[in-house]
Amino acid sequence: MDSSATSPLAPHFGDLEKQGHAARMGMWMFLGTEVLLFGGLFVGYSMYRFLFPVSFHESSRHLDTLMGAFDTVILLTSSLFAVLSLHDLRAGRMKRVILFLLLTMAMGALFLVAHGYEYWTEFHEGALPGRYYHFEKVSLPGANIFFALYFLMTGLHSLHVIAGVSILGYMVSRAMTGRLVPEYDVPLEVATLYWHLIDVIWIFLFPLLYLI
Amino acid sequence: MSKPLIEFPRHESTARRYLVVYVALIGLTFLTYGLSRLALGPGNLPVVLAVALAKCLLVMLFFMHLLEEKGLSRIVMPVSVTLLVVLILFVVADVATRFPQAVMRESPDNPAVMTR
Repeated sequence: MDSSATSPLAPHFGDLEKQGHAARMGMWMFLGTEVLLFGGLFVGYSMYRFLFPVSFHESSRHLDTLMGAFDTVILLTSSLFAVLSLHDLRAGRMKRVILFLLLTMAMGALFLVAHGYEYWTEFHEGALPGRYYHFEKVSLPGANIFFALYFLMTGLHSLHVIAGVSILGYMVSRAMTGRLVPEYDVPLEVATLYWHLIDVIWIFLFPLLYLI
Repeated sequence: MSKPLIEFPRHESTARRYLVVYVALIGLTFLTYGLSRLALGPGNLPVVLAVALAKCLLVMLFFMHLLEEKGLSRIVMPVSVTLLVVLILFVVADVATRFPQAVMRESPDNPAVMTR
């Protein structure tokens, strides 16, 4: 599907419109599978929250809610930068495309730093998953389950953030070498679709882990 | 089936729409954070979920351009989400309706103790 000298149209598609639609549909289907991937952990969370409501509430109270809100704002801003880069590509403003992509990546990196700091404080307090749990402030039976789910869900999410930043980095290199064109914006569009999904997943992780 | 819900011009001239959505998203974040501090107790869950759903819809419809999408791509995410909700509801219903001795949970009167 890579661009030839004259047109990005691949021979097995009738026209660029159909090719773009197929690419977007493929990405949406992949995003659907990602929802189900995280969904498995959400199912575990729902079940154990039902069985250990007090433990979960108490453990959640000891997470840094302000930091979680800060993480949310970081990712929402990164989504704004991502959609603005696509908007600028459609208008042909390539320098701004690169700028907004780099800003999106910077927000992703900032999220990872902030979240890494949260993990560091939790390790020090002993709020570790499963049998390693030794956090004295919350000595309830379901607390280690909460933190196991917390680390699994946010850890998987952070891995996706790393993947998303890498994909956007690849888009920056394509933009810098002239392999992103305003007439066919689909490669950048599907890359930003992946990034927005990372944001959507955090939009659900934040209230379920930090706020209730 | 191939017409999108709303026809935005393909090369919209202004990014104002995205900034408006962004401000709404930040506002909803403040709202959900503030509401949770009010300590509504068990009533918290539907409220924060509703706000999270609103934010999710804003990101998907506008940032991910789902409103402008045509054809089958539009139903992929609703199908995934529906199936996930069904899965969660049935798993929780399963655990909730087992006879009490079949499941370990924290004791309602004394949460520091596990009970069957």
